[in-house]
Amino acid sequence: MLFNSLAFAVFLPIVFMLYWLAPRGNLKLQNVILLLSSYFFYACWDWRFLFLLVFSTLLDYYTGLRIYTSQDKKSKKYWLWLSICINLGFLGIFKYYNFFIDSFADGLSLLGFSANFSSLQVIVPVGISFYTFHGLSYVIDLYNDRIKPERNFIIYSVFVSFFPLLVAGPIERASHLLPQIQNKREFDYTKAVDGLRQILWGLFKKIVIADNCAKFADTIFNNSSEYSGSTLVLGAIFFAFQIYCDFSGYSDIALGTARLFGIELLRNFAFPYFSRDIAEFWRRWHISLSSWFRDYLYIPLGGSKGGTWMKVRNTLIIFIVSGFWHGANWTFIVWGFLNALYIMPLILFETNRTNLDIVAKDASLPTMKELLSILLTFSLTVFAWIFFRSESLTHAMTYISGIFSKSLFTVPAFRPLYLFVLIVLFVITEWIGRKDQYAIQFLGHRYNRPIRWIVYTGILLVIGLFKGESHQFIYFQF
Amino acid sequence: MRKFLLELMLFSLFLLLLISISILLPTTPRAANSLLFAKNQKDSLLQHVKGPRIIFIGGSNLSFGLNSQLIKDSLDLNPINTAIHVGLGFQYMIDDILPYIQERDIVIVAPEYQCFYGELMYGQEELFRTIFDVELKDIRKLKTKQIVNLLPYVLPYAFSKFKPSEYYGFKQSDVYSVNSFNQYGDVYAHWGLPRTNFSSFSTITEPFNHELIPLLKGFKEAVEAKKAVVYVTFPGYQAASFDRSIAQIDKVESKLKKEGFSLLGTPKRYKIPDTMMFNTPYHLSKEGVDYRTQLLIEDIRTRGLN
Repeated sequence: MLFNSLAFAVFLPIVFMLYWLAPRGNLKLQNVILLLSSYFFYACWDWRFLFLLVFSTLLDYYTGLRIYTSQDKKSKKYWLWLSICINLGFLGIFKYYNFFIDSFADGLSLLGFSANFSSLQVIVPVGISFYTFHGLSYVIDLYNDRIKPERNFIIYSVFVSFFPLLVAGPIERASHLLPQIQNKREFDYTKAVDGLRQILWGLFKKIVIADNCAKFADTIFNNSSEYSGSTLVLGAIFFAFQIYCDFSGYSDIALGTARLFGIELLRNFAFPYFSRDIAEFWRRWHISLSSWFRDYLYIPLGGSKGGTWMKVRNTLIIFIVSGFWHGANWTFIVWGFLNALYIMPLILFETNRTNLDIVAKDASLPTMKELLSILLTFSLTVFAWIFFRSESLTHAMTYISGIFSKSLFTVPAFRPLYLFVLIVLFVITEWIGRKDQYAIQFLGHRYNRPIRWIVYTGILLVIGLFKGESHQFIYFQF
Repeated sequence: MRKFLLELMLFSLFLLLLISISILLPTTPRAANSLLFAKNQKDSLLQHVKGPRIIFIGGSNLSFGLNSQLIKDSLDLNPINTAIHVGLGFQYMIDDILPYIQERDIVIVAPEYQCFYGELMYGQEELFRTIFDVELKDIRKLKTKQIVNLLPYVLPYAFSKFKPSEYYGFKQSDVYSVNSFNQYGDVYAHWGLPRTNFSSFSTITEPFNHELIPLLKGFKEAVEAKKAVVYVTFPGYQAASFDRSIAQIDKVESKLKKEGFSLLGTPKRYKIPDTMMFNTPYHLSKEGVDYRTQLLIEDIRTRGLN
């Protein structure tokens, strides 16, 4: 069930009404409704993997309790590692088995041995990377005494399976989400309206910008050898907008949907393409994953303590692991490595925390220096996206060598004026709303109802007029 | 909560009003040239052509696959090709044509194979556009299932009224236009055009729709009550596509036989070589049109209908 499907448009109001009409706001009943609807939502993808989700939930629920009740450090550690190994084991089997087998065989053949291992036709369960990380954060926090265990299985299951975040995040933390599920929730008019507005903006991003960009990005990437350097650059830029609007659009819909149920999820994007350096970009892009790696990998590895070498090593590790998290392909690993290289000068010169606030916080327009920094950061990001989007490293290298040719200075093969106009309008809107949680949030506090309704109608009209061919959300594969 | 629901309802009503207004806006210049407007000509033919008449009902396989002049010359019957597009759905085609059937009419029905599978028989965007662009009063002919099937086309249709490309800079299609039909209702605009490259259809995967055959049966009985006759024939289908769905096609034939329909030819007989196709697996080139029409003439003669 896609967020931008008719099925979801029917599913959401039904769950919303059942949830809020639960007798006297009965919390237990509300949580049961959330859990059942989340399982139904997940079963719509593939009901067989529901068992895996339930197993993963049971595993972390049980090991979490055992970690908490164990008296000595050794047994706490035992239960922690049991949970980590089983969770990562499933992730490894479903997501990385073929990658390791193929890479091992390739490695042997480089050494002159011939090896023939059979690959498995493994279907990756949708959202496995997200809910696995969800569960892991819970048991690790318990082990580190940051939280208390949740004894109510329904509440814990809703934490893992809450349908807005189940298949593509944001990756929540128990300390943030569990208390919201444990406590009584009152209907909040402002929150609900804000949620609907964020859903609308998410749909616009996904249906209008991402799906239209996808049409051109797919054509150019899939036939890259046939196109000029300038067209390849355009293809990479289209992909940059596609992936941003696809994923942040999904996150907007997820956050907006959760808000309808009185639940605040972690913010996942904060206008990353307005970043002035790569460090700022990574504080604004897929925030819930970046902070997950920071808290559960970077800091346990020593973080920035222990000198320059440690910082460099730990930064390289988290970026490479982050790349690998996205998929079992060397292209993702190189993408992660490239981002680590980008950020390295900032780490070495200790300038990685220079740009903490949003750009031009107290101004309408950026300064020339800020603009150039934004453009440079965006260009570096676009370059890295080539690896992310390519089928293989060879494909990425061919694509890049195609860019750096004489044909870079020719007119691109595609010049979709309507899409250029839409992207410019989109960037302007994002710029106007950059100080808020999402681009059109300002409508709620700056304009009266008639103007708001006209804008909403306008956005719906643009969605209807420029609806691109429907594509599945990119991050579902991760 | 109440305030939220009330405002949501108000906004939905506001949207509904806007959608209704845009649906009822005049047909756009681009849509006014569409082949769907051929319905007016075909209705007129059904009203005015004198007997002995032979009436053809089907989708674009018939509109792009029949040379009625050959029928007229060979069988001494007055042909009326009512076919426009399969997206109108067989339910609508039959409901629309039945009132025009006269005594001693010969009615030949040639549904595309896909009509027997999935929901195609209830109509698609073409039906929605026929109702709202061509003949609004036909909305009364729609059954519940058709209305449900047409719901996804409401918004795209409403939004299309605001598309600049519907008003400016559009180019009238050489083939898919209201002017593409000859005096009998056959599309003939493509007869002089070269064949274009196209992909064959993949295997039919949708489930068999058990409602089309009873619908055809009901139609047959209604026609016979008017002292006319109904025959079912098979579409001229590109060989490559035919071979991919042979099991599904055999099923259609055996069901029709089992239900006692009078059949003209067999599916295999109307399997058309790839070289005789025009631009889709159901659209025939002039050579294909004549070939298919000759087969049909032979089958009609075999039945002694001329």
